Amino acid sequence: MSWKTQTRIVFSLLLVAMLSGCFATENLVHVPRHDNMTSVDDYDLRLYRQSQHIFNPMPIDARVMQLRLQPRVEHLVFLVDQSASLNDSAQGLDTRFYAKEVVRRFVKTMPTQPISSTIVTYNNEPALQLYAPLDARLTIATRFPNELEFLLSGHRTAQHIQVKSLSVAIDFVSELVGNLPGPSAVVLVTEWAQIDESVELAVMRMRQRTTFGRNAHVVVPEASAIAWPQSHSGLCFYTVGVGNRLSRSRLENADSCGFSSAVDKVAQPSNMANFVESVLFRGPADEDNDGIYDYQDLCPATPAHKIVDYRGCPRFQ
Amino acid sequence: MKQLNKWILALLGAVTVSGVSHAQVERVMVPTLEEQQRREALLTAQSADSSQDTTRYQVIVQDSNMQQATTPSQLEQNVTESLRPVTLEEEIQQQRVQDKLELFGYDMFSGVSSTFAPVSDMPVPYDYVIGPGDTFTIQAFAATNVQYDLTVTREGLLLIPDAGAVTVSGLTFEEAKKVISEAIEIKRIGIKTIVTLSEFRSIHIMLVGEVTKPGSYSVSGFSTLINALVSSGGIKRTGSLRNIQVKRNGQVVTTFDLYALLLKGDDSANIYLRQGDLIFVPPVGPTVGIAGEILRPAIYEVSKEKNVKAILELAGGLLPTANAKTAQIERISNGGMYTLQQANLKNNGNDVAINNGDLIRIFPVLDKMDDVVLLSGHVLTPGGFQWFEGMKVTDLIQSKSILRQGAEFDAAMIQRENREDKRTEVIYFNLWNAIADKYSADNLTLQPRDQLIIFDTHSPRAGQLTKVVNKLENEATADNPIKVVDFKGAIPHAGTYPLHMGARLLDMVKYAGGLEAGVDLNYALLARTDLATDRLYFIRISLNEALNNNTDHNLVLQPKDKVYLFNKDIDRASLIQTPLERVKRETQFGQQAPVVEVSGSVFHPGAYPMVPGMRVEDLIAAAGGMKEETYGLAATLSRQVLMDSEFSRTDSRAISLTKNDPLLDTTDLILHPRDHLVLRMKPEWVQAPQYVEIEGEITFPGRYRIDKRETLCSLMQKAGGFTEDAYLFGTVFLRDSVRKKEQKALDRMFEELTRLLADTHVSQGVNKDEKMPKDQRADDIYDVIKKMAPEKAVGRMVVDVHSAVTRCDETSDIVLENGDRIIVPKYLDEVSVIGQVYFPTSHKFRSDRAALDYIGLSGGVKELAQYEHAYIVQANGEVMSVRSSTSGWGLFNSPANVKVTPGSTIFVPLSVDRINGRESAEKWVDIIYKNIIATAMLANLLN
Repeated sequence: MSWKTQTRIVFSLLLVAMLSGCFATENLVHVPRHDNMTSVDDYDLRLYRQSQHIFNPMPIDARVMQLRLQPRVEHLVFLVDQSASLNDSAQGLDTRFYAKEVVRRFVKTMPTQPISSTIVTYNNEPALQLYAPLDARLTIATRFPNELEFLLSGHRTAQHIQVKSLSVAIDFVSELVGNLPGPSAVVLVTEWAQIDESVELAVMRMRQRTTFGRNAHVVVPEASAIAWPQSHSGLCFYTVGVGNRLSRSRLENADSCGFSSAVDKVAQPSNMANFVESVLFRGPADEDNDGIYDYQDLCPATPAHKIVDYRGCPRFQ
Repeated sequence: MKQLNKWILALLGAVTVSGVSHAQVERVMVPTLEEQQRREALLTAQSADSSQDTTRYQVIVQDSNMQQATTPSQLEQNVTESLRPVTLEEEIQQQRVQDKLELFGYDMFSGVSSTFAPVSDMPVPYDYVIGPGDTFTIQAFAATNVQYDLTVTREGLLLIPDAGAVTVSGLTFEEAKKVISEAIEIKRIGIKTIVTLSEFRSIHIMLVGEVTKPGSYSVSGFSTLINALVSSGGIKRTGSLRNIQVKRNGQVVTTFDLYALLLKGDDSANIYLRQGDLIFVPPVGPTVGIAGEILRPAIYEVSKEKNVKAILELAGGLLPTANAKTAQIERISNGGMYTLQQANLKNNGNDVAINNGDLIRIFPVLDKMDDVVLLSGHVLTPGGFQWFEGMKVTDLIQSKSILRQGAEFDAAMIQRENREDKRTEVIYFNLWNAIADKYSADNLTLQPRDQLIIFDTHSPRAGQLTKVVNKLENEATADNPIKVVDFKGAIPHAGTYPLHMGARLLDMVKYAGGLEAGVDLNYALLARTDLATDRLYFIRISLNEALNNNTDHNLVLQPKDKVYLFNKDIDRASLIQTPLERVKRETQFGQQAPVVEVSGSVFHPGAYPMVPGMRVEDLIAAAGGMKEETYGLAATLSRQVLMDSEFSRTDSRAISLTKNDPLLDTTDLILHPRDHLVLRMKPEWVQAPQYVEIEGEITFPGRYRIDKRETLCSLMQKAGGFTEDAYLFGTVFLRDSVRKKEQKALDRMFEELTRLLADTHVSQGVNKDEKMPKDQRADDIYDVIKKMAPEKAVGRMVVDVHSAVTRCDETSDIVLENGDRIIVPKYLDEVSVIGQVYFPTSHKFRSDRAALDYIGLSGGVKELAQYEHAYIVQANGEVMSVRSSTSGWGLFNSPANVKVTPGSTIFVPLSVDRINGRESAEKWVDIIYKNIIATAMLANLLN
């Protein structure tokens, strides 16, 4: 046996050993047991880094198919704060990392079918050049989740804007979605402290821009109800705050679509799946309108005015 | 036993009794009717027996008999039971008969006999056979009267003086008389003789066999067999009553059957005994006991009786209540065991043979009314009625006249016993239809033992139905649950109702009094128990749908259903709390409790059961709908979401209350268990409108409704401004909140004052050498304060109205509150002086006069006045002291002659120090004064 072969063997053994070491490291990752209930704060930094690799998305494709979930929005826009104010590290980790990681997990959990979406990141570092003007060169295009992930990797800079403040960034997004025909969902990922009065106002402006024509104000007898022009656009605005799991939102609005959450609240696979589902979908379909979702309905065509049981079948024949 | 005794008495009454001592009769203190009858019977017997030439029996009536006679007989008991009101209740009848039976007839001997008293006061029977020992009394009437007492010699001769021996033994008395008379009359001619028997001979007899005291007895020659038996103590219970033998010279001369005597009064075999007779009582023969519904239950000795019929005759026959078909004979079988033989006695038992040792049991008829129908409830003549084939409701209720006032016509009930499966059923029907139209379906055909219950419109039905409900409850089995339904909530007669099988919801509602006005037609609940799993689930019912003939909502009720009907007043949450909690309790792992909650601005917030297919709008309907002030755009729904099906989280989402929102979930959203809906009130909704009253010198005085943060300035403009006479400086501004605060302060002050006075009562004064009684002054001051105390605070706020209405800016304008009252007085050009002045009065205002000038005009201060403490109360309510800083200090703390404004009142107070030495009291009086003045001022202004 030549020494070359021996070296090869040694190398291959080494390689195997290294690889197996790698696998071992992967397998030996210590993650707090009840990962569902554990906040990011509870993670040791090093372990948390490792746990990034083991984020095991809970794809909701099957669920969407099975439950026949109805899409809620037509467009999806992420606005990810990457400004310097997020620079101060939480537990030694750049909080900007959290922000991006949330979106990455969102994208990984999304159904595989394409959705018209984009990712806008912004920062306010004065030295950097303004990449995208406010005239919204950015377009919202139908993308697959893997494309979105690619966008997120930062290799393409077209989605990055540099503006003075978050409120301006929101105005920018508002310009973007305001011209869209269908309803859209905007997910803002930022630090809680970033949300001030100017951001509130910016969100309000965005809502006003996308919503008009509500006929609920007019209390008239049903027969003579005036058909108001129906807006097909609309906005669901979600906030995901970086920080701990306590929501410190100033953007909750009882009347409009959307809600606030925190990174820790949505970071884990099942929670993320729930978040994705509530952003992208309404409830499961119910075609015969008997109040039982179709996927549970054993009698798919129940006549109206029938009392049904939990299987969706008429209780009394 | 009892009957037996009675019967014997009756028998004795018919025959005769001589030995009944009066003492024994008199022993009974209060004679009952029965005893009186018995006594009468005895008396008649005594009077009758003198004419009858028969032997008397000597029987002593037992004491126990006398006492027992008061208890009613079986016959009487049976009739008493039948006298009770007719009822369809059934009672279980055990196969019970008498506890013990006695041998028949032996009581006759149970009395202790007295000595064998020869009967001397009765005529001698003509067939009496003379024997040795008999004593004749012979009187001969001739020239001289002679009387002989002669005894028959042992040879049977009667040795008559002067006539010789005459053989009389063996002759009857009649014959002997003749022979003696002839013998004398032959010897001595012309003589008349009278022959009587003065003393009977004694004869010796022998009693052997099953008698109480066997042996040889010397008895009167006049004795019969019964005499001998009774007087010797009678027959043992082991002896036969039916085969008593009398042997004479080795030959049986008679066989006596005591039953013939006791049962038929036949004493033909009761012979006179002769010298040397032997009475033999053999052991008792075969016996048969008979018990139950029979006249004389006892054990009878059987001689010739072969069948039950004969035994029944012995026992006096069946009682009317006896059931001849179900008699039983307990018999000793050949195998040596008891067996039971069913005996049908419908042919009087002629064909049923008997054996020795049989016990015949006769049971009573079933205590159950048959072929009757019962009418009960709200009628004038409740009770039982005869049933006949084809009987209808209208046969029972022929007209409305038998119904009481207020009878319910819409619903009546028949409680029926199903003869096949032995279950109780109920049938409801419409009484009006039945009476109005004989041929209507409601005129039901009745069955025997039906019970017709008529309701009334006013009283709760539950009480009337308790009995049948209990009955149904008792009849319930595992696979046949209790057939009742419950109605709760908004229904005239809530309660538990027997279920008419197959009845639909609206039918049963009608029976429970019908739908009330104001019942929620949109939402009602049915709590149904799954009969297989015994788990509760809810069905939401829309009465509107039910009334529209939707059979899903007007459903067929099941046993154990509970129907909840609501109206706008009923507290729904507490009404359905119990079943809801049960549902929660029954929820197992892997399920979610089907309960949803609604709170906020709805009529009935609370927890409601979730039914399949329930949506947000259904929940709002369950809660009685939204109120006037409900925010109509959006509500919030909180949903408990399970992550990884184990970790729960609460998501909140906005629900659009409008029908067509493109993004938000609408009221069509399907609810999940544990959802919680919050409805909000319209923002800034005015629950109670706020009013301000403005009066006085105003162009348009009146009551104005104000918005939030409305100011005096804007209100004054709305009210058209002031008139010319308005005295703005004197404007009275009354505020409720201020008044309350003042009142509180005043109350607290008085409390403290009272406590202070109590303290001073117990403590000594500063100057201990003062002679004044220690309590005197304290009482004085208390009286003063009480008199001065204002009753109520007025709540006047001092405001600068003038600048408020002229400048209308933030500093001077006043925000109005609900209940504010603004009074603008007329211009006043007077200044009043009151208090410790000589002549309290009002003076015309003049700008060149000041406070002290007005006091001087009123005659100056009195001696008791506290001059330097005089107050000036201005028309705007401000109080100013003559020495206050606003008025400026006078020289050396003397009162300054301050300027006053028109409408002011100058008050010169009483020197408190003068009437008591308590400096602390001064403080209080000061406060009270001010208050009094304020009140007085106000009164002055408002006038």
